[in-house]
Parts: sequence; structure tokens; C-alpha cells
Amino acid sequence: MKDNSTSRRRALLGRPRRLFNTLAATGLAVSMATVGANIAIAPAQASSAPIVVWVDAARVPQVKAWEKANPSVKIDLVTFDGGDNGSGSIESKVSLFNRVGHGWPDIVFSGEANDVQKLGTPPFNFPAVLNQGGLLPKGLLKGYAAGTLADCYIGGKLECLRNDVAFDVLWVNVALMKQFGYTVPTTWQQWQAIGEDVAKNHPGYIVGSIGDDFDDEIYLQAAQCPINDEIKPYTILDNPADANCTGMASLLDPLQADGALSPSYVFASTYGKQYGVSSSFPNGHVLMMPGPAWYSGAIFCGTCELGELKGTVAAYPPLHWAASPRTYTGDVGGGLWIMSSHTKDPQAVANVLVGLATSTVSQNLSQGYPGYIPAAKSWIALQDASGFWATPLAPAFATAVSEVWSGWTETPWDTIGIWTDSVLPNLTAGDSVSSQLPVLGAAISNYAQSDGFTVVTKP
Amino acid sequence: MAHVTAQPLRNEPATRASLAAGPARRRRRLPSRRVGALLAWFIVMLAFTGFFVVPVIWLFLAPTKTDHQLVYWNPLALGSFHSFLRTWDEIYAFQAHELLVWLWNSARYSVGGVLLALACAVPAGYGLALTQFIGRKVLLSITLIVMIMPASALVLPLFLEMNLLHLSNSAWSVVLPFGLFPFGVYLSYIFFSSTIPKELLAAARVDGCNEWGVFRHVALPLARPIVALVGFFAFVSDWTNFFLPFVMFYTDRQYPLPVGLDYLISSTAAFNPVASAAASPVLRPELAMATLVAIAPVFIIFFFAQRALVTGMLAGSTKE
Amino acid sequence: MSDTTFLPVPTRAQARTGRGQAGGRHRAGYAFVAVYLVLLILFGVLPTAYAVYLAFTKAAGRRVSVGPVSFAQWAGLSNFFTTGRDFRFLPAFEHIAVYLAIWLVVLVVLVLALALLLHGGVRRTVPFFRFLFYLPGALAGSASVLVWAFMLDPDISPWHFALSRLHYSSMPQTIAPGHLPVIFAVIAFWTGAGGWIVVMNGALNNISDEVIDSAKIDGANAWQLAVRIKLPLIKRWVVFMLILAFAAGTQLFVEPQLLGAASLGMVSPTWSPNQLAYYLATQNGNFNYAAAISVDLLIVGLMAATLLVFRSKLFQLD
Repeated sequence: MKDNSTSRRRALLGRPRRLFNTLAATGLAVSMATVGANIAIAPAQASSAPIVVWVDAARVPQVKAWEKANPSVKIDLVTFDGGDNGSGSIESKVSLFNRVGHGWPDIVFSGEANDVQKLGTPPFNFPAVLNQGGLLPKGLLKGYAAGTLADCYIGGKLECLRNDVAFDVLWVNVALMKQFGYTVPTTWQQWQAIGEDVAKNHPGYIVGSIGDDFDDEIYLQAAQCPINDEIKPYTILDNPADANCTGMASLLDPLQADGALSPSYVFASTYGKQYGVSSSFPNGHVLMMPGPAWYSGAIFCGTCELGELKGTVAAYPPLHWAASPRTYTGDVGGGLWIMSSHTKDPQAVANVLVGLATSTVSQNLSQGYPGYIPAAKSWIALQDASGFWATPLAPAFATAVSEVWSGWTETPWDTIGIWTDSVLPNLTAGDSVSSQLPVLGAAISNYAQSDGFTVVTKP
Repeated sequence: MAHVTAQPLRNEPATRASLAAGPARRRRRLPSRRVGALLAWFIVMLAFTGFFVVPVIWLFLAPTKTDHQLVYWNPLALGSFHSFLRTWDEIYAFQAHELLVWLWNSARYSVGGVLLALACAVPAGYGLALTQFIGRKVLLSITLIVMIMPASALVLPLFLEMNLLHLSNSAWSVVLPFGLFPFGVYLSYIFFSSTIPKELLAAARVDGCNEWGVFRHVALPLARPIVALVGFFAFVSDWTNFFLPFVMFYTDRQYPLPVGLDYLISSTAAFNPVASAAASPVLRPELAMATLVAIAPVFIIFFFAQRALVTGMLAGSTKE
Repeated sequence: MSDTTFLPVPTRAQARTGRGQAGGRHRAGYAFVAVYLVLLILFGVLPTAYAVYLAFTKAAGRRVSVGPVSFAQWAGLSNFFTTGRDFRFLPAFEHIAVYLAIWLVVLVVLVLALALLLHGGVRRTVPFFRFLFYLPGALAGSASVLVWAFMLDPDISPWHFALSRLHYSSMPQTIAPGHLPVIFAVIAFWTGAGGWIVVMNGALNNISDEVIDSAKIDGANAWQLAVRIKLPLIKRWVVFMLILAFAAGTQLFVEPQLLGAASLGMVSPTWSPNQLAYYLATQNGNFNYAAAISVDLLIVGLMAATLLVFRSKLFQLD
């Protein structure tokens, strides 16, 4: 999202009356639902100790907004790195606190989607179980789309609430597609065909990236490649030779070879220089890009590195993998709100947790598509009202949110980190994606076994 | 080994001939060779200076540019004063002036740590070098072992200890361990054992000084360079220490600059995609400015400490 | 060992004139090291002993209680075997071996060369160059992430001309796995050389001018002056530097960690053994495995230190 909340509100007020009324109505409905939900929770705190909340810098506005709307609750805000890039800061602090028996925060935000899978197991045993003891308001969990809370469950116990969901969609530069006369693809095969055509007839343009840390969760997960599938507790199905894996890899190989996929990672310092808007490429070089929903704020926003792309970029529903009856997509990250199992007043803390994770006042400032559907509706309305996107994001996002393939399980080890340091250097050196499947499979197998899991190649 | 220096060269035929020729002849032969050698010397020095200094120059220039200019312009281009001010405003305002809080914390912890380290290391080095007591070698060995022990293994035990002492999450939890500076003890030990002449101490003892008097009146005045050296290294070690404060402090407002910088990096979109550019005002120029704030005191202290690292402090002390 | 050997030194027998005096010096020795001893035990010996204890006990399992204290279950060498068989252990030590070979040579040779060049060159420029060489020393750890993210990226680096000469066109190419030992040695040298040059320069300054002048009068040229006269006189400092450089090399942590942050994870978080120990402690919460690897590194460092200390008689008094 390129605008901060005040400028968004200004943009809203300048819109035609009808749109404003619709939004106001939606807003009213949403806030009524939230108020309704809040009535179920007793807003007062039982104890007078402030609730210690750990967040990263990007979440500070959310907490501050919620604090303002709930002045009776005392919050002690501590900022930290959010576990960024697998730093393990939550784990290390929790280990130390476990040893001395005090010091845990009451609520922690983690930017790592697999943190709960780590923290919920020995020796950490940190998160509180949320779906028991009546901590959550009735019906709250129904407000989450199917599958969006999967990363929070450990054997039936819910141990976190999603802040935002990071499903992959197909980002498309509508202006460029029109310019070259392509139709937006609906299957991966069609996408590949366009890519080959682009490489031949429109060199310099790209249809995706193969240099990123999380490409396994964009391509392989969408193809339902069973390489990190926890089929039973503590058992991983890891079969890089599966047809889904090899099929997707061989689909990517020619695109990688002829340059239709950029070899750089989207956060490279010079990505903007190479693929952004320039005088000879007024709409940038990116024709299409399968990628997570949060590209809306990180890559394609007006002040982002790719330059001013207003009115040209839209999100389309995820591509369909031919071998499967329904469409699946990957997901890259998304933050989690975790409550400590050591709090003195679980109900009061749970109230704050629910507020931060599901209230519109907090989630409107979320950096990604909120996991809680009512909050998501409000968020996406603000996005689409900004007029930045060629077509509203809502339809594609609403479709994609329930299409995330659950067979790519979040586990105590980080598949993004594994792809980055085992596979990416080889891709950079010129190896094909197909050649790296066994490497990825072997690395995952090593990490899994060292964490005490059994690895099988057949279910 | 040192006393074999003078004799062998004295008897070389070449040197004898040149000695016979007299100094005048040698002086006339030197200039062209000297100029060439001097030039070569300067070139080598400047090349290494370039290697060490160019990245630092880049860092100084970075806050004068915008994030876009950092990437698109020549790396060593100078930006504008306007950008410099804007960068400062952003990083100064970040999370209620947290950068200054970190700066103040660093100052507190480091000053305390240096004073404690000096009070320990200088006398200890002297004692190890110039007094004889049982267990001297054992102490030296233990010091070495502690220096070589990987710090990451000491994280948990130090944390547990501080908890037992009820000092965790307080400034003492870092200042006290900062006082343990084995590297300083060794510097001090090597210094005292190689530069203070024994007869000077013996003379003082004969004059009736007790051991403390010997230390205070003889060794300490001569020890200005080592006090400056140990003090400076202790300061830098404390100022740049990351692990100890990271483990000991629970909240970001107690962090010193290294931990604060680490947090800033995780709040910079270029280094952490999760911290999207829209949410955090910390871009790379702001990070560069924070880095400059973090390293400037080291430069300032070094500049002043240099005065004490003078040449030839031993000159005159051995003349009897 | 020092220039004072030219002058008559009272022998140990001569010094011990009267037991009272010797006894007094004996007791006073303890007084000088007293405060240091307390801190050493509190923050050095006890934590190190605890870490060794962790290395030989199990992380989980039943605990044995003796009064108020509970002890973990004895593990013997099992922690060492488990970590030794970890798939990241051997690669980490292979990496370190290559790094160490490059690092030791680069550091010792270049530091001594620069220190000697400084000392033997234009004296008035010494503070100037010494300050400039030291500048990077302030950029330890997190402060240099930003700097190296730019220095190693050919598109935006001031070293563009050098990197493109090597045919690197992107940062991932510069930090390809095969290049890492060299890159880390360069970074470590850039950060650490200045400090050692300051130390060596200080050591060289302690050589009295008479020694140097008399050698020059004897006809020593610059090379002979440096190698035959100055180097032997700072032998203790060189040994000290070697010991610490070896330990620092085997315990490499900061450079791979900072390059991992600068490259968004393209350098493995367990590239070096010390990183693996840290990873096991923080990410897996297994302090015992971390302690086992740390003890491995300690042993390696101590072997080198012992060898050097004995060969150079570092602990002996004159």
C-alpha cells in the first residue's frame, strides 16, 4: 500500500458519492460486526500490569491505532526484529526466559510463517492454546477463510492468529499485455507459452522471476510438489522426483534459459534499474509476475523500486496447474500473532490479541491482506479505492485466499532459507531448476532428520 | 636473540668500507634512491589507504543522497545538503528519537566498562609481568583460555548468572562483564614485561618503596601508552559489543547502538522484505546515517587517544 | 626479548635479597591481580565451566537433585558425536580450514608489512595513516552490513572497476560459494588490520632509537633493519597476534553473519562452526549441542595457543 492512512482517507473523501456510500455501508457493517464481536469480550483488564507486546517496526502503527481505540487497556510496546529472515530472535529469547522462569512477553508478532511450528514444540513450548478455555469469542474462527489458519495449528491446537495472508496471485501489467496483444493466461502452460513468445519477440520483458528466496513457494507449491508435506506428525513426504515437481521445473527451465524469467531477486538493489520504469520502457519490463499478495505494497506500489506504474498493474487469480482438478497456489509468509502460555491473565491478553489480529482499526494498517475476512474486506476496499490498480484487487484476492495448497507444510525448518542457500547460488551460476530439485529434496531431508522427523518418499 | 644484532654487521667488508668512506660519501649517494624508495612507499601506503578508506567515504556520502540516488548515481557522488537534513530528520524522529536513546545507552555502558576494565587490566598486567607469585602462569593460561572460548557458548551461563545476581535487564549486566577484558590484560602484560627495565624497579625498591609505591611511582608514569591503548581497545570492544546487550536486555529502549542498528536493518525494506517500504521510514540513507552516529565516537576517541601513543617513551629511562 | 638485555640485569638470586622483600613482592602480586581475578572467575571461568558442563550433559531427560541444585543427566561424548554427525558440521569445518589458511597469511604478513612500513617510513605521517587504517575497525558487525551490501554489488559499488574486471555482474555472482573464504578474509582484514597495526606500531615504538641508530650505523638497509632487528624485538606481540588470529579465524562468526544479512540469506546461516553452534542454541534451543561445538573450537584454539606459547616462551619472565 503506497499511502499512509491519512492520505487514504483524503482519497476516499474525494470519490464520487455512490462509492463513498457503498464503502460507508460496508464500513458500518464491518464495524457493527466487530462491535458485536467486542461485546462478547469484556473490555476491562483484570490485572493492572501492562500487557507486554513485541512487534517489528512495520506493525507499530497497527498497535498504536488499536491502543488509541482502546485507551482503557495498558500496553507496553517493545520493538524487535520480528524474527526477520530467520534470525531466531524470538526462539533465543524464549529459550533464555524458559531457563530462568520469567521475562516472556505476553504477545509476540512474528514475520516468519513457520515460527509457531517451532515455538510450539519442545524446548520452547511457548504459545498459548487459543481454541480452548473460551479465550476466543464464539464464531471468531469462522471469520477466517478455510486453510488460512493452517500454520497456526499443531495437532488440533490453535496456537496463533494470522495477521495477514500471503497467497500468490498472478500480477499482470495490463497496459503491456494490451500493447503486445496477449490475453491473460489462466493456466501455467499458457503462461509459459507467452513467456517463450516474449523472449523471442519482445526481449527485455519478463514474465516472472527465478532469483528469489521464495520461488519454491511460488512455483513448486502451486504445482503441488510433495517435497515438504507433513503427512503424519513428525513424518515428511519428500519426493523431488514426483511428476508435479519435475513437471513444473521443466516448465520453468526454458523460460530461465531464454531470459523470460529474471535471474535477479526482486529486492536486489538494482532491480528497479533493470526492470523498472525507464525512458525506453515507460511501463517497466515486467509483463507478468506470479507472486505473493504483498507485492502490492512492496514491488508495485507507486513509490516502490519499479517506479510509477499507476493504472497499469492488476492482480489476476492464480494460474491453474493442468494435472490438478482445482487450482492451487503457493503462499509466501504472512505474519502471526502469538500469545504466551505464561501470561498471568490469559483472557485479558487474548482480548488484545484478537483486537490486534481482527479489528479493522488495526488491520486497516496491515502491510498485507488481512487473514480475518471482515477486516480483509475493509482493507481491500481501501486498496481499491486508491485508484492505483488497473482493476480492483478484490476478486483475485478473494479467490486466491482459499486456494493455498496445504501440502506445503510449515515446519520447524524454513524452506525459504533452504532454497536460498542450497539452490539459489546454483541457479545464479546457471544451473537449471530441474537439476536443483534433488538438491532441494536432499537439503530438506537433512534438516527434517536433524529436527527429529522421518522422511519418506512415498505416502 | 636481540643481542646478536650489533656484532655481525660491524665486521662486514662492505660496511667497513662504507664506514671508512665516511658519512659524507654515503649522503651523496642516497638522494635518488631515497626519492624512488619514498615514492614507492607513498604509493603502497596510499593504495592501502584507499582500500581501507573508500568504503568509509561511501558511508559518509550516503546520507546526502536519497535511496534512489544511492542506487542510480555514482557511488562516490556527493548528494545535497537538503537530502542530508531530510535523512537526519527521518532517523532522528524514528520511534521517538530511539537513535539518541541508543547512543546514550552505548555511552553509559562503554564508559562504565572502560573504567572497570582499566582498573583491572593495567594492574593485573603489571602484576603478571613484574611480580612473582604462585599461580602466575596458571592465571596467564586461564586468561588465554577464557579469551579463546567462543562467546556464543557463554551466552546462557552469563544470562543465568545475571539472573542469580538479580542484575538482568539492568546496565550492570553488561558493565560488569565489560570489566573483564583479558585482551587488555595480555596487552598490559606484554607491555610491562618488555619495556620496563628491571633495574628501574630494583632501584625504587632499594629506595624503600613498597610494591604499590613501585607501581604508582615508577611503572604507572611510564605506562601512559598502554593505558591509552588498553582504554581505547576496551572502549571499542564495549562500544561495538552486540551479543551481551542482545542477550541481557529485554526491551529496545535499553539497547546500545550495535543492537539498535541490527534492529534498524531489520526495519529496512532493502534488507527485510517483510518491513515494506511503505511502512518504515528507514531507507538506506537513514541506515547509513545511523551507522555514522554509531561509529563517530570511536573515531573521536581514537583521534584523542593517538596523542598518548607517542613514540620513544622509553627514551631516557634507561640512562643511568 | 627486549632491548634491556643489553644492560646488566640482576639475576633472580640477586633480586631475592632477603626473604622479607621477596615475600612482600609475592603477596603484592596477588593484590595487583585481585580485582581482575574476581571478574575473571565470575564472568570467565564460571561461564566457561558451565559451558563445558553443558557440553557433557543432556539437554532433556531426568535431572538429579542435590539439595537446591539440580544436575542434568550425564551425556558423555554423545553431544559431540551427534553434532559431529550433523550434516552441516563437516562442511562448516571445511570452510573454516580454507578460510584460516587465507586469513592467517593475509593478516600476519600484511599487518607486519604495514606496521614496519609505517614505522620505517616518514614518521610524521604515522598518526595520519594509522588513523585511516583504523577507520574500518569501528564498523564492527551490524554497522558494516549496509557497507558490504553495497561494496560487493558490482552495480552500485565504488569497487565496480575491480569487480567487473573479475566478470561479476551481480551480487549473487560476487558471493558465489567458492568465493566466500576470500571475501570473508577481505572483510575481516579490512575490519581488523587497523587495530593490529596500532598494536604493532606501539610495540615498534617501544624499541629505543639507539638500537635502530646503531644498526643503521652498522650499515643495515631497510629490509635488514625490519626483519633482523625490529621483528625479533616485537616477537611477543607477534605471537600474541598469531594466537588470537588463529582463534578468531577458527571462530569466524561476524563476517558470514553480516553477509547473510546483506544478501537476504544467500550465505548459509551455518557456514562456519561457530555459526552452527549459535544456530543450534538459538533456533533449536539446544544449548548443549552449541556447547559441544564450542568446546571443539576451544580445543582447536588451545592447541594452537599452547604450541605457540611454548615455542616462544611467552609466559616466561625475563
